[in-house]
Amino acid sequence: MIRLQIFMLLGFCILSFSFTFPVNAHEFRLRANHIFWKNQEAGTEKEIDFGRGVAAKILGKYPIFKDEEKVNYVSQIGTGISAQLGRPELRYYFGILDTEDINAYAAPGGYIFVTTGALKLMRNEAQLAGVLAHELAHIDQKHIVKQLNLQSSDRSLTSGIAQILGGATLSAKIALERLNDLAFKMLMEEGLSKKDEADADQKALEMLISTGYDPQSYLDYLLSLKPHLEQGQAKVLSKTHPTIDTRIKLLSEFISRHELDLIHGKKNEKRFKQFMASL
Amino acid sequence: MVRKMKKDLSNLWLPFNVLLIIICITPSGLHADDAHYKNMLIGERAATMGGSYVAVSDDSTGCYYNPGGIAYAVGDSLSGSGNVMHQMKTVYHQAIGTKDWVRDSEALVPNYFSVLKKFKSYSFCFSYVVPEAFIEHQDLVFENPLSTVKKYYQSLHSEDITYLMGPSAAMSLGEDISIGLTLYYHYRSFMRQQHYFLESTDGSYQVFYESKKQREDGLMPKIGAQWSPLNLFTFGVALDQTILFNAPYQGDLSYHSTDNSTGTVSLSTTMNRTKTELKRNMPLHIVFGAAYFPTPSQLYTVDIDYYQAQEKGRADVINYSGGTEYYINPTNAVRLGLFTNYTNLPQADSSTTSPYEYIDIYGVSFGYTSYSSSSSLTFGTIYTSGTGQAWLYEGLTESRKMTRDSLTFLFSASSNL
Repeated sequence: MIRLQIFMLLGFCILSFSFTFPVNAHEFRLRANHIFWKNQEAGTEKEIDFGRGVAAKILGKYPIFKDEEKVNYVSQIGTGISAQLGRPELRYYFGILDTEDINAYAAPGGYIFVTTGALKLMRNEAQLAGVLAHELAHIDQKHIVKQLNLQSSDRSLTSGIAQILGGATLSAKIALERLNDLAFKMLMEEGLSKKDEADADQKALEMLISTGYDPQSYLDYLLSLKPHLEQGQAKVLSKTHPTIDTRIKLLSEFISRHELDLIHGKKNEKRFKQFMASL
Repeated sequence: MVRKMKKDLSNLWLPFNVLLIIICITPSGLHADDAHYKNMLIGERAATMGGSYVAVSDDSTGCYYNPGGIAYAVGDSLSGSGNVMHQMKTVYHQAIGTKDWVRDSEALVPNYFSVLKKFKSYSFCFSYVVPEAFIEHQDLVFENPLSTVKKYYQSLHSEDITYLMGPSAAMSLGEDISIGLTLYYHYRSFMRQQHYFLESTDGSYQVFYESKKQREDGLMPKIGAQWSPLNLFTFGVALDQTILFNAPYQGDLSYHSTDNSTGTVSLSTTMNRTKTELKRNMPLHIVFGAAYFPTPSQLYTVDIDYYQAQEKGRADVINYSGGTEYYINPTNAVRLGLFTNYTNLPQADSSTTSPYEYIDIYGVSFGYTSYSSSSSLTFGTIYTSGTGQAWLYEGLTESRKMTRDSLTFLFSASSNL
């Protein structure tokens, strides 16, 4: 009993002593998994910061469409599809750009826009879902981040985007601004690689099937784009994407190879027209 | 108390001198194995590094190994581990004539659960630990094991489980030193029921039934500290001792026999109940450890555990353990450990009462952990083996070789909060 009292007294003295010492970080104790996941988190935060800057530039070029009902509808469809993606750390934002130019944009970190021109061309909800799924696939696969070489070459411990854009120094801010310009140029002029676009098209189909939408509708949308591209109503899309014939051909082959033409999902044409009637 | 009971039993068995050989091999004492202190390894990283963790302890497992280490935990966490299977096999060679006597025990016990919370520069933890768990069941039947014994049947069931549960707190005492305290409530539950029936070749019978049960309540304060005077190195020390408040014991025994040796049948019956309140004096345990963190992917650690005996018939013990951890990549890690588990009994001499076992045990552990952003899963295995001597019969001239092997499969999971 005396020993117990000594133990308790000693413990009380220790806990009563020094309430103000901070815990030393002891960085060397951090194991590989700690460092990796911390950098992943830091990388995601930087990706969102980076994407926010790109989104601001898109909104600087096109005015935002301020019909709350329509924006909410697009958001609901997009959010439903985003649940299929493997990046729960991202929060996705959907917006409508008030321009007759037919296109949709995805900025890193979860920012997605579709133009009123594209919405007017669509015939049903499955087509809208397909376009949003295509843009979500770009974000999910970090296509812009990879194309700008923001991905770390050494994936073992560090995240490249956090390395490049990390810190609050002036040079880091300049680097961020420079990368925003490059990403914006990529979206508006240069486009992503053919491989990334084909990849996004195929992933869009997979997401449509997973969410019960009609996959053929997405192909129908691409087919409906063709005459408008020829008439110059989608100038940015023409510049930044592979030719529509190439996309249609690749997607048709993919559908045929996997017998996706046998799947007939929902189109929700009536609901789509109800929301988009006044466009 | 134990010795007194053995003496009582010996008196009962004296008329049946030959049969003593069989009776004595039944397990005795009030503890499954209190001759060793490291029978179960706790935690996920710690257990798979041979229990060498006092200089690391920077997660919730540190509450058990070194509460000073939890000051350096990376974040809040919830951990749990269970022994998927713990099997132990003890073989007494040529114990029954030329036959071996084999004892098996099995346990499936969730042996660790903890929740750790960091609050500013303090760490708080609550943990539940099962450092000892033995469940043994035997059904033995021997036909003509000796020339004077026609049939011997024995049934035995024994459970001995120790639980520790309580809070921990840790804080930093400067840039390179941390200190912490754990206060465990110690609860132990022991029960053993044994029955045997023996038929002699002359037609005599013996029927024996014994029931023992005991519980222990106490406190185990543990104080620990960590010091990091050099970059990449840490040193740890922890001190603990269990102090028992009460240890009520009850033993019931009944023995019925007939004796045909004189040609006239005589019946003998004994029934007895024993109640005591004798408390064990638990050892003072001091452990020193060192760890080297050369890279984020590698870790080496060694511990020296010193147990100072506090009661007669026990010897001081020093156990050694060492382990290493290697991250194949940031989401997959493997671990290896080695450890000793020496007996705390002194070498047998002429004053030693049988049955008596003297066996040192050595162990190896291996584990694999898969990490995600918020959780980890660990699978591991621990193998121990030892060879020693057992004195099963009256007198110490007839020792038998004994071997003990155990295999544990463990599964642990932890999650960030």
